Amino acid sequence: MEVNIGQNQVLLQIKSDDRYLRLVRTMVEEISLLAGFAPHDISDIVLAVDEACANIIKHAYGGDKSKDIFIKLSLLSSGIEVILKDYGRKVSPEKMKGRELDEIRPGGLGIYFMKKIMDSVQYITRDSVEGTELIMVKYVKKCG
Amino acid sequence: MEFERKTESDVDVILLKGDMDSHTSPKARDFFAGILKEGKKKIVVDLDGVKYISSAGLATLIEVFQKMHRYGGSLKLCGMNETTKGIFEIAKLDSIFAIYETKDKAVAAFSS
Repeated sequence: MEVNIGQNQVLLQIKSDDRYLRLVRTMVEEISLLAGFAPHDISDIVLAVDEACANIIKHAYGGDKSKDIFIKLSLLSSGIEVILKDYGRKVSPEKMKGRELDEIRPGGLGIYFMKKIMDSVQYITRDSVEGTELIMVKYVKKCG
Repeated sequence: MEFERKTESDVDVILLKGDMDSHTSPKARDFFAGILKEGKKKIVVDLDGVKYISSAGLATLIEVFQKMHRYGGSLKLCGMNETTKGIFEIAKLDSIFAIYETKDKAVAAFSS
């Protein structure tokens, strides 16, 4: 991932260890606050990014805690863009549709949350590039 | 994640403290597995000390709910903050679980 960041960006690199997810959540909460989101939306964005990181740890890296995850947050003119980059097993976008809620069972809610909460969720994989890039965007809702 | 367990009448009340995410949920799952082995039929889980819950935390509670249901037990939840309540609503689990504002109301619901 490009390590240079712009004036409106924050970059966090963590190991694929879920004990760091709380740190990620704190950072996302603070940046979402700067972006002007309402408290309810901030909680939702925090959940979406947390779920995305947990999925990378579980599925892309198979629980290996020693791998790298990059989380780049960009303040947009009216929202936030979150880019998560991993170097693990490539994600098949068609397998990341999320499940329906008609069946009550544990598991499989992470993708559902991400898609329900964010305005845009896009998985990008390239044959020539290792891993997966996940780009999520959420816009601030204007009142009135 | 911390757990406190007490008995009120014939109801087991479990107070959870901390975030329920993919890091802490395995510990919660182990804790509940121990209680379910005892075959407890009336359990209230008080989420007053839980500031955040992810799908991993929800999965833990869904497992408890389903396992208790299989042996004829009943699980009730209480003490949710606005964040936790919102996550249950997004997942549409607020219509599946029996959710009460306070622990006292949840315990009393077993008698009504």
